Order: sequence, then C-alpha cells, then structure tokens
Amino acid sequence: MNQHDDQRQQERIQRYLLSAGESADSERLEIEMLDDDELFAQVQIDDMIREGLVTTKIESTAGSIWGMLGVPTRWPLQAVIGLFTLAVVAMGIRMHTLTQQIDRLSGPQVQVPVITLMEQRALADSAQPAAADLQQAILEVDVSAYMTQSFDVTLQDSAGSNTWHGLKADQRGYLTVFVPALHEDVELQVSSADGSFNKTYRLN
Amino acid sequence: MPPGRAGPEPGIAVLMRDDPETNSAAVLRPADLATRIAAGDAMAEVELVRRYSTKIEFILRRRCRDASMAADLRQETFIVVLQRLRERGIDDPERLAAFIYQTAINLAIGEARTYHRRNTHPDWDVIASAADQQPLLSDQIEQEERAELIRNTLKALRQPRDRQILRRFYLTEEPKESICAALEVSAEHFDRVIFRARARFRKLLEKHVEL
Repeated sequence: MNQHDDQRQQERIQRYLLSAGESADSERLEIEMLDDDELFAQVQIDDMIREGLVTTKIESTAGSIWGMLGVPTRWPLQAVIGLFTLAVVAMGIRMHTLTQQIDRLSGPQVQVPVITLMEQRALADSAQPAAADLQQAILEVDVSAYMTQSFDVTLQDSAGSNTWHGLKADQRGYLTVFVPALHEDVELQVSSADGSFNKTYRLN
Repeated sequence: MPPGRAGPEPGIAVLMRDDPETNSAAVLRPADLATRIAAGDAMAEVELVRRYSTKIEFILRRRCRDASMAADLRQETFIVVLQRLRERGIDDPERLAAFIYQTAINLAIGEARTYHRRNTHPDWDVIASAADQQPLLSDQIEQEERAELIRNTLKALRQPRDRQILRRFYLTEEPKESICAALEVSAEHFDRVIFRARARFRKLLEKHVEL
C-alpha cells in the first residue's frame, strides 16, 4: 500500500469510527476487516487513540482552570473566593434582618410607646423622659395653644436628620411623628411658619 | 457436539500437522474453511471462530454499545454460522466473511431472540474457548493505562498545533483540508503528525499487548 492509499485508508477508518460515512461504506470496511488482520489492528488502534483522546480531553477540561494556575496564584485566589463567599453570606443575613424589620414595621403593632412633648418641657426648661430603652415611639407635640396652621418639624438623632414642612396639627391640637428606630439623644425641633412657635425637645 | 453429527476425524488433524503449508487451518482460505467445516473438520471450526470471533465482537460492540450483549450475540452468531456450515453450507463459500457478518448484524437487529442467548448450548464450547484466546485489544489493557498511553503519545508531539491536529482528526468529522487550513499546516505535515502519533501509540501499546 502506497502513502496515498494509506491516507485514504486512514480517512476511511476515521469516518467509520466517527460513524460519519455512508452505512454501505461502513459495512464494506467491516467485512473487509474480517479477512484483513492488519486492517482490523489499525481500526482497533485508531479506536483506542480516539477513545483515549476523549478521556484526556475530559481530564484536561476538568483540570484546566486550576491546572492553568500555578500554586502561588492558586492560594490567593482561593482566599479571595473564600472572602467573597463570606461577604455573600453576611449580606444574606443582613438582608434577612432588614426583611424582618420591614415586615414588622409594615404590619399592625400594639404597645407602641407614645411620648407627649409638652410645651413646658421644651429644651429651655428640661430634657424629656428617657427614651434610651425604646426601639420605636410616637412623639407628639402639643401645639393646641397656637393658632398657627402650619409647622415645620425636624427630627435629629445619631442616624441623621429629617425635616417635614407644612405639618398640620390634628383635632386635638397635636403634631405626631412616628420614629421606627429610636436612638439616643433625639432632638425634635418644631417651628411655625410665622415664627410664633419655635421649640426644641430632647430625649435622652 | 450436536447429536448425530460426526466428530473430528483424527486423520485430518494429522494431515494438517504433516503439511502445514497447504493444509494448516491457520492458512486456509475462507472458502476452504467453509468446505472443511461442511466435511466435519472440527479444527476448521476452531480456526473459523479464532479467526473471526474477536472481529465480530468488535463490530457488535460498536453496534449495540453493550459489551455483554455483544459477547452473547457473538456466541449466537457462531452457533448459527457453524450450524449452517455443517448442515447445508453456504452458496458462495468465498464470501464466508460476508456471511458471518450478515448473520451477526441480523442477530443484532433482531436482538429479541433472547431465548437462545440465555440458553447456552453445552456442546458449543468450541466457540467460547476459541474466542477467549483473542480478547479485543481494548479489553487487554485497562482504561487508565490506555489514557496513559495517549498522554505519552501526546507528549511526544511537542507542538501544541500538532496535538490539535491529532485531536481534530480523531474527534471531529472535520476534513483534513479544513484542519490543515485552520491550523495553517501543509497536507504533508498533517500526514506526518498522524503517522508518527499512530506509530508511537502502537509501539507503546505493543509493550502491553501482543498485536
């Protein structure tokens, strides 16, 4: 068999092993193989090479990510992955806590403390009762003695400050503020638009 | 041996030993093999099984993708073939291989014939014993060892491009011309790579099995 024939034979075997050729060609090769020991040996060897290449390909694919990295690169990468995993877990826990808080706040609640801020207890006089142990509270400011229709209220605590403009007193003559998370040293400033009322209350 | 059938004749065996060039079963042409089996030559039966059994099992294994089923079908193939050769012979003894092949394929297609496969005949030991002498190459070497041979074969191909040639040639249906064009290699280089890889694999394989 010359080189050209050998190549053709090789391609024929390949088509057979890949089941890529015509079925009639495959049948011819199989029958031929029955009486040709060398051809059969060649087919078996090619089959084993092909199968071996598949196996080593799977191995190399599986090990390619770590295999490509040297040991010095591998450890820092593992540490980063570990930290990232921890961060994800921590975020998950935080999210869960926040979800619980939102659920709690959006639902009906009982026994919410009400702190009435009387005018005579404004900062100029003395501090209001301690609120350190309270998680949440409704603050109400008695402005019933004033004819002013509109008030500005600023709540300031360690978390920051919030201001509401143009608040109107309810039928009792009270301004109310619900504080979901009551921090220490809460300061509430209430003022009327016309300047007739300007008080600061502090809870500590 | 099936009932009513003549046993092997000692005279033939002696003749085969005395004149190996012309009479040895190992060098018989397929047509002579068929004729001798029809004449009741047990040695010819053993030779027939030895000559074709492994190959038929290889073919059947590719067809049914199940080694044990292929072995069962191979056994049944030779039961059918030997019975036919003993009793009636075949129309064209020159095409003995094609007859065995077609029998095997027919049995593989109609594999519903489980009854015969599950009821092995004690008088067909000739098939089992002859077949055991020549297991498939792939059965003679463990899968891990085979993978090691491939790794060693690949190591010998120092250029990554040459390893690509081997993989693409063996694992894809991509034509040679296309592989050569994609990897920018000549057809001669391609042939050289494949030839060397196969030769190396064969050499490594020969250390483990007899080819």
